[in-house]
Amino acid sequence: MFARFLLTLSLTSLTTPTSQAQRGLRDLPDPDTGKQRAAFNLPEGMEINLFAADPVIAKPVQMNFDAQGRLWLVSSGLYPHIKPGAEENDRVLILEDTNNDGHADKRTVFADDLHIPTAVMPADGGAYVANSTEILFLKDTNGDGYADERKVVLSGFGTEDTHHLVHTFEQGPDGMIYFMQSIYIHSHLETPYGVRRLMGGGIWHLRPETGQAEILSKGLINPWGFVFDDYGQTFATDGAGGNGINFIFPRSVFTASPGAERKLPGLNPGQPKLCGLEILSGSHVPDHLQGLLISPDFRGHRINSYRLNQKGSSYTSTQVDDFLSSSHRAFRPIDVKMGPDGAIYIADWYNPIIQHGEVDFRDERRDQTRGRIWRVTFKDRPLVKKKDLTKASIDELLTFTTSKEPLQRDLARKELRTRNGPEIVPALTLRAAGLKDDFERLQTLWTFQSLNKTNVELIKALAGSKDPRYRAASLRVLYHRQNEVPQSEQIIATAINDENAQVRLWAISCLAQKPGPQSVPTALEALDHPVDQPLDFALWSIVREHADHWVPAFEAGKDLFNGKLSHLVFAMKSLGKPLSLATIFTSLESDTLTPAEKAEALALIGKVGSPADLTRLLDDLEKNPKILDHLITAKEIRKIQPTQNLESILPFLDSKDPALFKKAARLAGLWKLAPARNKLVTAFTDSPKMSRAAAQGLRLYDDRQTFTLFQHLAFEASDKNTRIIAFQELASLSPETTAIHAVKILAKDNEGKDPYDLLTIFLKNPKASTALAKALKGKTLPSKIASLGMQRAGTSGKPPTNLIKALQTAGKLKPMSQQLSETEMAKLIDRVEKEGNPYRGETIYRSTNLQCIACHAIGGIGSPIGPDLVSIGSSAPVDYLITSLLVPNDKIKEGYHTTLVTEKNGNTHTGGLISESDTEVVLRDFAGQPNRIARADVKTISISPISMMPPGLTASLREDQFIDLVRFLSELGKEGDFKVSAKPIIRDWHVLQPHSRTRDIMGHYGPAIFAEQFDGYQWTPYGGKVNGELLPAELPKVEGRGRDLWAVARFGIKSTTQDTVKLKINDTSQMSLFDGTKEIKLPSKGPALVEVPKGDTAQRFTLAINSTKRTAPALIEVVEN
Amino acid sequence: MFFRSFLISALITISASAEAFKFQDDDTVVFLGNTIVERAQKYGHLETALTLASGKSGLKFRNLGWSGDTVWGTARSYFGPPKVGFNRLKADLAELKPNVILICYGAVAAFEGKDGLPNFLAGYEKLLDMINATAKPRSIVIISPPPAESLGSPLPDMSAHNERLAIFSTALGEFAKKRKHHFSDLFAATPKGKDDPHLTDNGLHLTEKGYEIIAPKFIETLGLTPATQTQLQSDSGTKLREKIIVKNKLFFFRWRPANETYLRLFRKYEQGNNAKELPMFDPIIAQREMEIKTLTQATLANQ
Repeated sequence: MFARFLLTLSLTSLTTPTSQAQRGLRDLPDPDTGKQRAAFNLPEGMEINLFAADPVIAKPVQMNFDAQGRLWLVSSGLYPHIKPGAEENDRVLILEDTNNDGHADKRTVFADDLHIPTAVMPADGGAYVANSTEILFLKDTNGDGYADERKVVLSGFGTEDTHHLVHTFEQGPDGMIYFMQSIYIHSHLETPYGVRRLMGGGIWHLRPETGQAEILSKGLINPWGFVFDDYGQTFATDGAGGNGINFIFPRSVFTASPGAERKLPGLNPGQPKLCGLEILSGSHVPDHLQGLLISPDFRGHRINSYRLNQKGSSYTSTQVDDFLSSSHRAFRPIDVKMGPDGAIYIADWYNPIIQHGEVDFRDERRDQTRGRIWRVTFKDRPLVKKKDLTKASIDELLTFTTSKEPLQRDLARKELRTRNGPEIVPALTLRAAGLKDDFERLQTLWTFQSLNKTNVELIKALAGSKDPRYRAASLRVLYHRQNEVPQSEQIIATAINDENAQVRLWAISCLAQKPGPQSVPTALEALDHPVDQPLDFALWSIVREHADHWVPAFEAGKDLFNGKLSHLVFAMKSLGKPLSLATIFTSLESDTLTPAEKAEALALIGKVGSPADLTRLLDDLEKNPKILDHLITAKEIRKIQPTQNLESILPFLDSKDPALFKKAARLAGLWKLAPARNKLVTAFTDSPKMSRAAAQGLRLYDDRQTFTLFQHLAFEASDKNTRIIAFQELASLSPETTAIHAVKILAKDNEGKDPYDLLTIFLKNPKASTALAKALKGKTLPSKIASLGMQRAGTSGKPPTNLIKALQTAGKLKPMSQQLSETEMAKLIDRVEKEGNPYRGETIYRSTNLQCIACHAIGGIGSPIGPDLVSIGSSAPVDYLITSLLVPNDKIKEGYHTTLVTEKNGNTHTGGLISESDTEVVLRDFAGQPNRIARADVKTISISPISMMPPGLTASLREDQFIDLVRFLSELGKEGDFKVSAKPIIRDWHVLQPHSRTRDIMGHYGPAIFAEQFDGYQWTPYGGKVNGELLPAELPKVEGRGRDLWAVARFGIKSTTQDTVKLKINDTSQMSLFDGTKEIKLPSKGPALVEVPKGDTAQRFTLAINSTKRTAPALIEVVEN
Repeated sequence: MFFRSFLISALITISASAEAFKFQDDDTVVFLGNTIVERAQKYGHLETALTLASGKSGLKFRNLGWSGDTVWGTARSYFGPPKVGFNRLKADLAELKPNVILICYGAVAAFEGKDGLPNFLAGYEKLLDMINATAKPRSIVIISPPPAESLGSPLPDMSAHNERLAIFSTALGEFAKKRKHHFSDLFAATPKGKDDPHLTDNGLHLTEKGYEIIAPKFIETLGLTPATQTQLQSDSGTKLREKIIVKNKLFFFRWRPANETYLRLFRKYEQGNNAKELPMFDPIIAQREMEIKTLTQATLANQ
């Protein structure tokens, strides 16, 4: 037992005192730059050299190049928190390689009195710098290299967490400055155009010369890297999220955006946290790397690579081989940039630990003085010739704006902005008139835009391009400048029906900028074309944002949607507020609707209809039992019900279908429908299949009659099952009067399984938990049930301390959360490193009774409840891991806080916040299921400091097992067997649960029966090991012929641009594989490579392994041709 | 325009001088408001001017300005609704117990136009009620927001906003009268003639020079006499302002620390132990204030 193990530790540690300061310090890697350089793993043909290092620079945060080809960086030694009495002394540095040997030989200190600066952008003759609460513009006016002029550009950025501060400047080809803020930051900016507020994460853009700052996108936990591609599309990475690349378009909303009702997913779920982002481009980069998006995985000491392919309005993103990696544990790449010589520059924050809240601000392992800039080049590829653009003529600069070297184009535009002379625009206009090539047209249009000008002819030409990517690019310009383009309305109206989905998406974005009665109807024309997720989101968003513009016109009786019912239904459903449903009812009565349209229309009425509208729904109930769901939601969330004909649901209480009966019983209870009561009572006592549903319905009547009935049945019913159900319902209604009896039941629960779910009932609200605590006084409980009770109570958002204490006493338990002393911790860390076995640890991690996999994913495979552990080992120190296991409340990751909702009646709900709207709040409960709570019932919503991870989960482990588990976690993400491979190995499986039919028909048909589309089969999610291995013995045992047992799993593959891909199988012994129902011929044993056609149908393949005859793991990798 | 504003400010000066605002020795003076107040602490001009013009010694200024803030406490709320920000302010005032509070709100609300005025004033009433109940200050000064500037394309024309600001300023004057508080009409007192130098660089926010120019005007709205240029530009006068800026920074780190989530909010389980550093700023601030007191005397000694 763990308690005993702790005791042993504290005794032995008496003789070996270790101070906290030393803990883990012996682990520190050698800071020697040569050794660090030697630790890189570089692909063939790549070279790396040190461009700059400490003490010349320290702690680089962000970097950008200027028009002279100099590298600017901000660095912070103050991070994470200023010490009392310390000076603000963080710096902006300029590094120069004057002799072009790839090493910085000149350093200029541009500013040295900053406070955790997190972004720098040389531009406009000076530099923009993010400085905690403000964005500054610094300028050197006397040429001594030091900034002597300072202007506040924007202020009002929050500082609630210094690793989330406003950060990362990128200058778009449009001349605007884009920047990010992260989850805990709340910003309130006063601009000449009004106040702009952003709560939580998001991406801003600023046009410095107009002072206009606007929000581009909301959400992401720690949005970090941001890039424009060659067509003006934007992408971002997330330094605390796990979705790899995110496609950013105006008004898009992503994970963790406070108060968001709907969020978009990223393109690579299950990726490690990424910071910085760059697109490999320019002539120095080898062909096979061109166009890759690279982003540092700072935890994993590597730089990841992704290949994008356009799909619909968005993209698919595939992770490919790492750009590079390092086995040096202090290599922390946090920014990556293409340089003016064509090389790739990497800012290395250099730190043995990562720097978040999980490590004490004053922990001595935080490095505050080192930092490196690495430079990556390729053998046999000529470098780009560096140019000092500040010495170029206007004509030369204009030529550079259409260069094939992307950075040259950007820097030329930057220089043109700085010069800002009257001769530029006329010269540019002259050039624009002669352009025939879309690439040059777009680059030139951007040059206009970067000078805050618009060229209408170029927009028109690009809007008519044959290439949809240029059409989309022209709309992005229009998004910002449609007031200057007389033809914009027409261009947008055409684009909304473009054959390309991304063009349609940008048309919606343009419409969203200009609200009017027609903006929504025009946008909804996109519904006549295929609608993917971003399009659906953008339409939903504009309908709501522009409600004040189209709703009055609609309510005045205007036929806004040209008679298109699907548009109207979409608008109303998205709005979610009651409007006149006359048109909908007319269509329903005309009987012209397809079944799908009709179902949509009925769902809409259920969602937004008035009580009278709901009454009309009842007419269709018989043919559309789905209406029962709509009516339940209407009552539970909106608190309304049909005005009459409630008895229409009575026939369903005679239904033999338990699902239908359950819904009708629930409705009867919610409506307190008198004529239904007797039917429910009869069903409760006489039909075992319906009894629970009937009892739950009856409880909702919540009156004396029900109470008496439950009281009677709970103690007098002859049938045990009836007694139990009645008691549960009685306890729900009246915890005070039933607590004493509940304790009697719990006292017999030696298994500690709480089969009657009494803990849930008594943890529902403080009154109930207090009643149980009182009833426990002087009583004894088996330790297992007491321990389960403490776990459950401990993870509710507002832990009932009185009940926890009562359970502890009754179960004679030790306190659950154990704080280790410093010496104990040091000892334990030592043992994890010396004795821990990560392979055994993985088996322990995967064992079901430990519950790890019930809540955590590794690399996107597994449950979304807790944080993905993909790189926890390479980021978190061992002491952090141990504390997280023992005292989960001490370590809670951002984005995984428990939300506590208290209802007006005192009931509390806890879970992760999924969404919030005017009508409901949705939490993800401990089983991963959504829990909908009506806004009308909500009293308060708060962030709870309680982890959803129960304390004591590891209490059942032996000491050696605990050490193995910690060792496994500490290896996750480090180079080796416990790093999720970038290769497309199948890890996401659905496994077949045993079914009675297989044994009998196996003999006739063989494993082909597993590939059949048989509805009775139950497939449950299953994640392979970290390395992708599927262990046949671990899977459910499906019966075959004789004594044979089978492990059966299904999987799918991602979409690909190629016609076929190959499945690479490690060993085909005792294995059958099906594509759909068609068997793929495999060799009888040994490795195999089989070709299959493309197609991303989920669970398309069925793999069956005779698990009686084979225990060796199976591994399948998808290989592109 | 110029003539009109000249007239108004002349009138104000006359009426205000009839009842000059009175400080007392060792008063704690709180500045409260949005960006205009928050940024004042960076440059120190307003505070230096008040320190020298107050006629009293040992004044302690505490700048509680917050960009984008409103009478409802919107910008101070961090993770909660505005009410959380309002309560945060209440707690701050309860701790500081100011004797004098100088309040400048209205620049943000004015963007809503005349329709937003009733709500703004209702919020202001609540704010004053809270202040009186929490801090019981001896005096409150209600300051109108300074005018915006139209600096020419590509910056926007702010004349419509100025019309709105004028409405809010007039209403604030009446409001101050009704609540019997001193009214400082910064909107009227700020020079805004064609030939006056620009006070802002985005049309909205005062530059360092802008603060320097309005500082004496602000002093006059309180019926006080500004320090002389000789005093301000003397060696000790320059040092005084530098010291005030340093003190303001220290107080900022103390009062509105970064990493609040970890130090005092829902992740204090992780780093709450480091909140012990916050009070360590207090003796440093006190030391700077001793120096400010000495420098004030030295500056005033210049004639």
